[in-house]
Amino acid sequence: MKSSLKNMVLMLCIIALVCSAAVAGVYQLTKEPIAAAQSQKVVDAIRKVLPAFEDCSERMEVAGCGLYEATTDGKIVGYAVEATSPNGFSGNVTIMVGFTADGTIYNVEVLSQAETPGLGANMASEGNVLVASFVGKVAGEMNMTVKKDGGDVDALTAATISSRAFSEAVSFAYAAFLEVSEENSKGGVDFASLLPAHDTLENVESADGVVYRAILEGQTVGYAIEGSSMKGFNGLVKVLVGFDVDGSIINIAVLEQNETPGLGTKMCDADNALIASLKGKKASATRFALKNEGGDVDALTSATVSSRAYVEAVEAAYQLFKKVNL
Amino acid sequence: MGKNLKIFTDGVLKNNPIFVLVLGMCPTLATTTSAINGMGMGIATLFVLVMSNIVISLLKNVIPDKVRIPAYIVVISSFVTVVQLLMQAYVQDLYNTLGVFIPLIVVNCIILGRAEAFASKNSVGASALDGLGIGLGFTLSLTIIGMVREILGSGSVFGMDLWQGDGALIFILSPGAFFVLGYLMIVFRKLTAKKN
Amino acid sequence: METQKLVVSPAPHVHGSNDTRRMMGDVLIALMPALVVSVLVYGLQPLVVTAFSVACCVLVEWFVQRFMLKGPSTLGDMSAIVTGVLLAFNLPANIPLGLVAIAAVVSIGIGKMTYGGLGKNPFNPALVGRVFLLIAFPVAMTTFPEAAGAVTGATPLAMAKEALKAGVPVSEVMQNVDLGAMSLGMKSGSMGEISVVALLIGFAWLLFRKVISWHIPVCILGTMALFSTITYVIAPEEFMSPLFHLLSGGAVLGAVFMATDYVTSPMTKKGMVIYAVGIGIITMLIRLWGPYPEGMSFAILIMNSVVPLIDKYVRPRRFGAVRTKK
Repeated sequence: MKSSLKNMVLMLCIIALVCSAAVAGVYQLTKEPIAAAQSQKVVDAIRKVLPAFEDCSERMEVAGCGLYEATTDGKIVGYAVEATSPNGFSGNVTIMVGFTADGTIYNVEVLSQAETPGLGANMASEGNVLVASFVGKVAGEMNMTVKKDGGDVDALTAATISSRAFSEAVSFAYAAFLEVSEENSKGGVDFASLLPAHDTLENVESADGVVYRAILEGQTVGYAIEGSSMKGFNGLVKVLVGFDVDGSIINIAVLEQNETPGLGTKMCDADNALIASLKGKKASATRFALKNEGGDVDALTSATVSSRAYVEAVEAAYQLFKKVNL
Repeated sequence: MGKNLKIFTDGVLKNNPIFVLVLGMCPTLATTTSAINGMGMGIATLFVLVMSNIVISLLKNVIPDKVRIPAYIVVISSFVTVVQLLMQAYVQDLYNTLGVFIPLIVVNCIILGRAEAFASKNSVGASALDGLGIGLGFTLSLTIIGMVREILGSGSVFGMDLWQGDGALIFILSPGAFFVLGYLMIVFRKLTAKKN
Repeated sequence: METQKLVVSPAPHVHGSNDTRRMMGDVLIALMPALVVSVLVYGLQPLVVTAFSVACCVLVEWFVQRFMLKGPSTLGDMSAIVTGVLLAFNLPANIPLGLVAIAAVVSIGIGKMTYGGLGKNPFNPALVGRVFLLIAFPVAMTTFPEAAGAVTGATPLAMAKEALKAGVPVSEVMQNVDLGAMSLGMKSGSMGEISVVALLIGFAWLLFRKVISWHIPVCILGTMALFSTITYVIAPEEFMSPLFHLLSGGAVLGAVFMATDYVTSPMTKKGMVIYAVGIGIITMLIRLWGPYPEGMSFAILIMNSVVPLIDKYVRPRRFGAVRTKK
């Protein structure tokens, strides 16, 4: 055809129109399969890193990571956290880490990485030492750095930088997990373990702090009282202390803390030295201080500051108890 | 018939885009880290090549000469986008591995080269055959390079392990691509030289 | 091939007893002190590796020449033997012999005979083999037997790079480094590079026999010294000292024996200086900021590729020609 201006403009327009219509059509057709394939990939990864579960929540953005909550019959099975470290040997290392509700790492799956084939890329191969050094460990009890840097992680041979990035991503994931699991435990405190058997739980309005009164057949049987201290290793430590009406400490739950993982965080464990030395004791007969500071409470190993804050928080709760239990 | 067959076999052997014409080196070197990757790239290119050859051959009389290159590019890039979407939907793992090299098919000089050198001058049927021949030549070459690199580099073919442990890592990395391409080119020349 | 007996070249014609064979013999003699030190440090293993490497190189050269190039035997010039010894010197003493065979095939087959044999290869064949192995089998190529015992260790360069990257100051790194022992050979590394003193004895022999001139080795080491002095003066706690850089890794082995290869280095003195300075700079750039702890072999190969260009622009003046003004 002749290259007149009219012809050229007309033909180019027609070709561009037809082509974009065709592309738009294919886009519409493939839109759903693409979305399905993408979400399938995520679900596959989540299933690999967690024990069997029924439902999986939408992606939640927590502490810079993508977090998925996996549940069976409404009970939390675990969390799958997608985390990225930018410090790989050749760019980003993105992994999916599965935590069971108690903070144990169930499995780790590499989602994307561009590490050196045969070296750093082995992080994605089955049964490598790097993944093996995380699987089955309680996240809070391990030092997530490679052995060369004094941690607990076996690095891949001749791929220290990739191994460091991987470990870093796991620690990011753990931080996100901590944030969420703490939030959840705040809302869902297990009052049964803190208080004597009761049928009603009443939130007592008090200017001094949060107090719950447990009532059995119209009779007050105990109180759950919040107490806090700002003197933790990293600021706030908040506890919920269960008292019976005689002023005996039934149990203590930690609501909030930012202590050092593996040291101060032990205060959250079910049976730690702090709880053991307070549980079942009459608060009025207890000297609220650490043993080496003239008190009755055993401190956590290597976490004196955290222990002190914990004790102070419990004491604050006791002071409040004295006010409400007249 | 004989003529048509020749168009087809020329694309695979005499005008083999990789070993003879040495075109499209960028995807060749970058995506042939394994046999399956090489084949995936080859098939994607084959599809675009055949379709664009057909369409351009159909349009050759209505496209004004001065704007033929932009017109070709629009046609080619549409088909590349279609391939990209289809791969994303149905072979997502392969799509993720090949990454940027799928959209880069647009600038693969084989495709524009065949459009300009063949499809714009020949009938629809011949153009389709030419696209098929060249595309198959490309796919076969990439698959062979990928196979050799995979065998030497990871000790497997199409993902099946031939032996335990790793191979010579260098063959998966870019220097290995050059080595394998160079020596395969020697072998290809040697084999085809005997026939002629 | 009979016609090659008549060599036509421009005047003047001087007869000398110099031939490839005699020069290669001198190179082999010059390499002996380093081999002796290697045996003293690592035991008999270096002898085994060296002998095996030489045998493989000779075999590959014979095979390719006989069956693929179909020319007369080229074994008489002894260059395959030198390549074999130099290749072995660039490998760890505990390398599996299978890898040595692969390296020999790559060195002679890819590095030399593919281009048509001695005199036509652009790259130093022994280094082609070494770098091939380094990239192909990084784990085997970076685990060295420790100088004193049987434990595998890192080279001083690798150790220093790792430590400096982790933020350890130089003064602390240097506490683990004994420069005196390093210069004698008590360090881990490729078997031929460990003893700087032995290599310098070889250098003296080569100079004495006029096999090589001083330009390339001195300029490479000088450039490295200057470069590292500048960085050391600017930030003495972040960069290792010049002495450390000269005594560690393959600096001396590369400068004296690898970079001076006749075929792959420039013809003129001026060209040699340009070439050597380039090697020095690239080596230091890789050592200080590259992903590998040692950059000598890469630097030599990179500058090898520039040699034709250097020779083109730095031409020797024709004998008797008068410099003309343009």
